[in-house]
Amino acid sequence: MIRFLCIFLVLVSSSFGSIVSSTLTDHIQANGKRNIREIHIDNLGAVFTYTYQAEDGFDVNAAMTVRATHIVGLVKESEIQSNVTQIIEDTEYKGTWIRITFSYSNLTNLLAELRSRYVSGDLTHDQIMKIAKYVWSLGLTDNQLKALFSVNDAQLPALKTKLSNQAALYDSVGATTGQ
Amino acid sequence: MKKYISIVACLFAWYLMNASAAYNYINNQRVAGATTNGTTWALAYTSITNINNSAAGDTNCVAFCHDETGPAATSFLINPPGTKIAHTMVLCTDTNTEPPTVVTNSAVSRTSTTGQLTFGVGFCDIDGVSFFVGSGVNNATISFANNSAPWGYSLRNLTLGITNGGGSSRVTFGVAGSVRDQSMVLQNVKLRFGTVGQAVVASSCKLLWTDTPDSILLGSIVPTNLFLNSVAGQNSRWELRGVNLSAWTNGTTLLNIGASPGSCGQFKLYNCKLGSGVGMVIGSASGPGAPELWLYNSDSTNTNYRFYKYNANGEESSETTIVKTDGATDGTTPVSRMLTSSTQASFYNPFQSEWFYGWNDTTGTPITLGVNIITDSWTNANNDAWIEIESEDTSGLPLSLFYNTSATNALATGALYATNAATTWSIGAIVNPIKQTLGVTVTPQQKGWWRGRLCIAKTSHTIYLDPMFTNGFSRAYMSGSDGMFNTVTNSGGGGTTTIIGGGSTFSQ
Repeated sequence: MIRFLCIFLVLVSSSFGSIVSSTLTDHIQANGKRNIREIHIDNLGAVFTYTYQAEDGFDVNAAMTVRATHIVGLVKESEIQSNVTQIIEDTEYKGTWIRITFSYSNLTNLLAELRSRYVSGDLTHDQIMKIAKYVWSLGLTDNQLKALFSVNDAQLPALKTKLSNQAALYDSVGATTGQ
Repeated sequence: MKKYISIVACLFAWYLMNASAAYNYINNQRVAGATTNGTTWALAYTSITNINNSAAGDTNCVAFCHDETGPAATSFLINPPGTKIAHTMVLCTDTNTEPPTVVTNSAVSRTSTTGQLTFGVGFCDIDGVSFFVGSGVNNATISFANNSAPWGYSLRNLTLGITNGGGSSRVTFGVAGSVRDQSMVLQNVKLRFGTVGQAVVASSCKLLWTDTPDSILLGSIVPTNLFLNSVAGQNSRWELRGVNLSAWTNGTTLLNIGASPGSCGQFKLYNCKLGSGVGMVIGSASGPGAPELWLYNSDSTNTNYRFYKYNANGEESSETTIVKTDGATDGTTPVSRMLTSSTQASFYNPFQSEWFYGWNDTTGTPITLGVNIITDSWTNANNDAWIEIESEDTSGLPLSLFYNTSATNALATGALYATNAATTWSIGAIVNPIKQTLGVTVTPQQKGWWRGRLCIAKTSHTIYLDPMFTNGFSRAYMSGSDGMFNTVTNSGGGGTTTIIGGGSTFSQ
C-alpha cells in the first residue's frame, strides 16, 4: 500500500517543465548578420541558451517564443529517454535506478515508453528482464497494469506471471554475481 | 634471423588473408533460378542480408540494379564477418564481369513498415549501396549499434534513409553506455528523413564524416534537430569536415543535448556549409562534462573566420563589430571573440576560450605576453577572469610551464586589473567600455609555441577578447584545437609570412 501511495504521489506531483523567462541579445556583425543568443530559464531554474546567426530583418522575438515551446517538449523527451536508458542498461546502479528523474516527465510517460520498448522486439534478453524488474518493482495495481499493457482481465494473470518471473530471474542472476 | 621469421610470418598471414578472400554476388534482379549460393552473378543471392554468409575479407558485389524491399515488418540484421585486418567489403558494382571492375552507387536495400535495419559487430566497408527503412507512419531505425565488441564501418557514396513518418525513427551510430572502440567513417553520405521529429542519434562511437557536397537527399524532410546527444551514456567523438549542412536553417538546430544527465559527446565541424539561421545547441548542460560543440570556419555565407564554441561553462563566438583596432584580423575583416560564461562557471571550473598561438624564436630572454580585452560596465578582477599562458620554459626538455594572471585561489580577494586607455576598440553597442590588458612574463628556453587562453570564472559574464598576443605577431584571427588557421604574419613588417595549421609551420 505504501509503495502504491508513493507511486500515486509521483503521478500527481510530477510536473512538466515550463519556461518562465526568455531573453535575447542581438549583436550586429560586419557582414550584416546578427549574432543572436537566447537565454531561456525554466521553472526549475535550468538555463537553456540558444545561439544562432540571423539574417537582417528576421523576427528574432517570434523565433524565441517558438523556441521556448520547443524546449519544453525536447527536455521532456530527453528525460524519458534517459530514464529508459538507466533502466535497460543499468550497468552502474544494479537495480536501484537512483538516477531516474521526473523533472520534466512523469512516471506515466516513462511507463508508456517502457511498454513500447518491451513489445518492440528490439531489446536483448537482459534488457527485457530489466524492464520487467523495474515495472514489477513499482507494485502497480491491476488496473494500472491493464491500462499500461492494453490487456483485459483474462490476460492479466499471464502478464503478471511473466513480469514476476522475469523480475525474479533478474534478481537471481544478480544474486549469483561473484560466485 | 628473428627479423626474417617475422617478415615471413607477416607474408604468410597476408597470403592466408588474401588467399581466402572471395567474391560474393548479390542481385535481387537476376533471372530466377533454383540455386542461390552467391558464387556468380547467375547464382547471386537476392538479399543484402547474405552479406552475413560471406567470410572475413570477402568482397560482396551488389548489383547496380539491386533494389530490394524486405517483406512487411521484416527487419534486416547485417553482421559482417570482417575482422580488423580483413574487412568485409560491400560494393555496388556492374554485372558485366566476375569479379567486377567498376564500382557504382545505385544499389538499394529497403525494409518495409516497421522493419529495422541493424548493423552488428564487424568491420565492413560499404560503397554505393544505400539503405532505407520503414514505410507509412510507423517507426523504424537504422542503427549501427551493437555494443558487445569493437566494430568499424566505412560508408561511402550512399544514402541512409528513413522513409516512414514515425517521429521516433532514428539513424543511430553507437550505443549509449558503450565505451568500446567503435568507429564510423562517412564520406559523401546523404541522409533522408520522413518527418521533422526524426534525427541522427550521436551515441557512443568515434565518427568522421567528410567530403559530402550535400548531406541530405533531395526531397527529404529536414528534421528539427540534426544530431541528438541527449541520453545518458552517449559518449560521442564526432568530426565533420567539408560537409554541406545547409538544409538545416532557421528554427532547426545542429545539436540537441537535452536536459538530463549522462551524455558527453564532442562535436567538431570544420569547413562545413551551414544553413542560414541554424541554431548551434539546444538543451541545458547537466554538468561540466556535458556535450560540447566547436565550429571552425563554417558558415552559410562567404566568410573565412566564423568560429563558435559551446560547453557547459559558456560560449565563444567570432565577433566582427566589437573589435580591437590593429587587433586580430585576416587582413580584411577584424575579428575578436565574444566569450560569455554560463551559470556553471566558477574559479576552479572557468569557461576557457579556445587557445590562440604565437611562435617564439628567441630563447633565454624574458618577454611579457599581453592579451587585450574589453567589457561593458565591468572592471575585471583577477578572480573574475585571467589569462593562462603555456610556454616552453624548461631548458633541455620540451616540458612546458604554465603561467596565469589569476588570483591564487578561490578564497583570495580579487585584485582589479588596471584599465588600459591606450588601446582602441570599435565598441559597437557597448555602453561603458572598460579596456584592460592582462599580461604575464615568460622566459622561453626553446623555440616553439606560446599558447594562451582567457578564462572566465564570473558567471553569466561577457568579455570580448582580441585573440592574439600583444607581442610576436601583427596578424592573427582564427585559432583552434588544431592550431592557428589561415595566415599569420610576423611582426616587424616585411618579415616572413608564416602559415600555421594543424600545429605545423611552413615558411613561404
